[in-house]
Amino acid sequence: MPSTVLIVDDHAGFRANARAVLESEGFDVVGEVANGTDAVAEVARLSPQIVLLDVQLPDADGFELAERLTSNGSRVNVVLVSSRDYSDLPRLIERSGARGFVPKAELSGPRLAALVA
Amino acid sequence: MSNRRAAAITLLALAVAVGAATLVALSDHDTSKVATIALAAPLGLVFIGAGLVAARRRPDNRTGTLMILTGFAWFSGALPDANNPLLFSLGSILGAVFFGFLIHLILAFPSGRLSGRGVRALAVGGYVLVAASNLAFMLVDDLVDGCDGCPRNVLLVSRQPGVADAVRVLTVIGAAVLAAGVVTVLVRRWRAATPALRRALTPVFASGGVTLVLAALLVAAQAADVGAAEAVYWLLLVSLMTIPLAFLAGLLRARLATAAVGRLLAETPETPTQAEAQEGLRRALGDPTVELAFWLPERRGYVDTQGRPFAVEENDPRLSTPIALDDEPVALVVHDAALAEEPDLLTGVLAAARLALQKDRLQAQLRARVEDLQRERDFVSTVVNTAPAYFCVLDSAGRIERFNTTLEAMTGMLDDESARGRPFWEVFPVDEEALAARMVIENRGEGIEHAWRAADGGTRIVTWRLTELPENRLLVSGADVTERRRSLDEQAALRRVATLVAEDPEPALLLEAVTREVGLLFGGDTATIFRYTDGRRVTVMGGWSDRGDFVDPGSERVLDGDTAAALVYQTHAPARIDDYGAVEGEFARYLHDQGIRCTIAAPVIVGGALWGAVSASSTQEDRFPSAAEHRLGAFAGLVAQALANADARDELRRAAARIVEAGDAARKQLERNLHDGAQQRLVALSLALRLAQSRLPDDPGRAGEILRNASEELALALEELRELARGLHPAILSDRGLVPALSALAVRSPVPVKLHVLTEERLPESVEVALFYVASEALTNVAKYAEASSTHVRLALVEDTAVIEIEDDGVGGADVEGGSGIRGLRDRVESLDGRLDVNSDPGGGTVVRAEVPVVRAPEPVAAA
Repeated sequence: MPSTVLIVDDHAGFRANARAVLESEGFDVVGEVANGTDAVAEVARLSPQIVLLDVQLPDADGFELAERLTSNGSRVNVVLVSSRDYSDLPRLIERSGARGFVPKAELSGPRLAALVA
Repeated sequence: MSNRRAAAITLLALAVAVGAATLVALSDHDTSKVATIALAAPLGLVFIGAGLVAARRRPDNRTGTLMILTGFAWFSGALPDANNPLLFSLGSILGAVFFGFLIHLILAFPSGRLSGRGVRALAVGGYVLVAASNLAFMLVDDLVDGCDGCPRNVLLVSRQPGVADAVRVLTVIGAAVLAAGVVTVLVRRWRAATPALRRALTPVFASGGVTLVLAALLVAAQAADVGAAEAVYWLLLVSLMTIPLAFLAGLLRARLATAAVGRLLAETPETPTQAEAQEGLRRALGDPTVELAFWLPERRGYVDTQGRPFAVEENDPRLSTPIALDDEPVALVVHDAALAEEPDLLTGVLAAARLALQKDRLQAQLRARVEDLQRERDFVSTVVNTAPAYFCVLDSAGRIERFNTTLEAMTGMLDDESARGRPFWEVFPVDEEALAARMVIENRGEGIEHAWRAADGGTRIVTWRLTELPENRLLVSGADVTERRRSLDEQAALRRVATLVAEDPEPALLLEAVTREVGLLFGGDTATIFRYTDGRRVTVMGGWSDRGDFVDPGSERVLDGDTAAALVYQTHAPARIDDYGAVEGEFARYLHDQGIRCTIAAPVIVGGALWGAVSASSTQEDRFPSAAEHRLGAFAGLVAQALANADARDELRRAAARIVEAGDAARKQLERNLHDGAQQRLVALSLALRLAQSRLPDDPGRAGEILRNASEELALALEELRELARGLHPAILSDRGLVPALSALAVRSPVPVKLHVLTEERLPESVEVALFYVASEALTNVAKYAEASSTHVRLALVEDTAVIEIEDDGVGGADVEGGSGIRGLRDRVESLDGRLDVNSDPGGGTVVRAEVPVVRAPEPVAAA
């Protein structure tokens, strides 16, 4: 059964490309939102298995939002994305409760699957 | 003439007279013997006597000798009375020789010498006529006619009555010619004579002239009628008597010289002017031509009564007689030459004049000495009383005897009983220094410096010294060094403050130091530096007080009334208040309540604007010397300099921080732009390529479509990267220069830009970059905010300043102090010593103008 994914990013172009890539590789993209507020609401409504979360949102910091989404025993898998490279900040990512970080240009189904497995 | 010779002549004369009288008495043919003896004998004696007196008194004058000879010649007139024929005949020839001598005497008067050929000829003619006519007559006439009992004429050659008559006629003619000649000479001489000479000539000429006329008449009468001749003869005798009397009169005049001297001394004023002295001499000498000239030693020459240089002309007939005292010429008396004939008068009068002059000179010397002393006293008095020094004379116990007016003026003490007799140290030095002054005076100490009390209640610093005077008295002489001391103190204080300013002190430290220096220097109780906050208040920034209470930094005061602070605020100039009791307003009342009576204040002007003021105040009225507020200005200037230094440093720090911030912001913006633009496109491109790759086997059509979109995305990404690169540094600027770079800016601007290039010259790179960014930022702002329809960009090089101006016709009202963009530009421009101005009145468009001085690298020097 394909994993359900919520894409949270303020760049529409990225959201469209990510949906196309992930869907072509077997993921079920259940929703797209452009900001942190909407993200919290949609996570509660859709309960996606994976949240693809941009580090930099107009109204929220991705790390803080990840921490919030993963607190209180939630089992949601948050994967942080950014066009900047945060891979050399593993502690920050770990502390946020996210499962991992993928540079936007390297996003692919297998990479995402590997992180949430 | 010696006494013996005079006696011999006298005896001879008497003998001759007796002889003559005897001849007359024994004569057989003289019909009037008694009359002849009575009149003729004394006449000869009178001539001889008068001649003797004249010769003794005037040995250098021949007149006396001539008179004596004339007297003896007269006695020869008795020979014709002789009964002896030879004596009778000889006497008839010589009897008239007397007249030759008489003519000689008159012509030679008054010198006794015949002067001039004509005069000598006349005299000789006289002798010849009287001798020759009688001789000739006796050769042809027996003389018996008309003379009963006359002896025989031994000289008779032949009695020739016709020839005798002719001789008579010729004799009369000769006598007449001779008389006419003599009278002519006398008249001429009279007319040429000065009044003094005329007085001498008058009696002699009168008697002589009458006598000669009578003599001529006698000759005529003898030729014509014997009876009439007899009468003329007696008249002639009487007339002849007057001649020696005339000479005696002249001699008497000489004797009167003493009286003239007495008159001179009596009638001339005690201290006559030169003119009065001259007039006195004229009267005394009876010579109105007298001139008196005084010797001026400093001119080495004489001056007349008018003070003009005086000299006797060469052809002046008058004589000059100098008067000298102690071998030094004093005066010159120029007088008639005839006065030489009255030497007694002349020498007497001149001796009297000499005495008077000597007395005058002694008096003048005495007067001069008294005047010298008076002048010296006046001079010393003037010096002592006008010298800028204090003089005070003390007795041996240090009590005041007298002091000068300079000390009176300074202390307000009068040099009278109120001060005299009191100890010096109780009167002049201020109380706390009195003991020290007393020690100095009582121990006759060295020069010292003390504060003396001044009339205005203040003190003066006086350096004084003691000088011993006779009778153990003391002269205290003092110099006022207050101003010099104050000036030195002021310069020292200014130096200290300036040094402190140069050391860049903490503001509080500086303000405290300045106010302390100012307060102490000007003698205030308190000094303050305050700042004008909004035109209605002042904020105390720092201060000093010798009471330690009044100044309260940070406190505010209302700026009302005419306080010194308000006056400085109004005038931007130093101000002073000498009595706060008379000033209105809350602040003034507050100061007055604090005990402040007077204040001086000077403005602190920083960067051309009034920042605040420095003030010093005192609880005493009129405490500050005149112009103290202006001297305070020097301290205010140092405060301003320190504040300006601090401002400049702060501004420098701020500019540096802004430059760093601007760099940070620019980099952040660049990263943001990259992140938001090209990076996002490349991310999308990457994902699209992977998507196309995955679709290619199953759906090549879809893969192709994805690749086409990706290619467009890539083109957009490249364009965005180029735009970013341009933003980092416009390559065209470094490659092609400012003008092409500005053209590129204009082309890309969304608002039409008209470029006005007034210089194509390449400028230093830093200048070109700065001007480019000014234009770039300004055009960006025009596009963003101005709502403009057109923009003009002007570039010019004015002398050595590059100017760029961007003007739009938009809405204006821009923030001229600028957001971060303008501030960054301003920093960039000012870092090149340039300036950036923005004018943007609402509705009036915006003008951004930058001026940057162009400093070119020196031309490389060609290698030799």
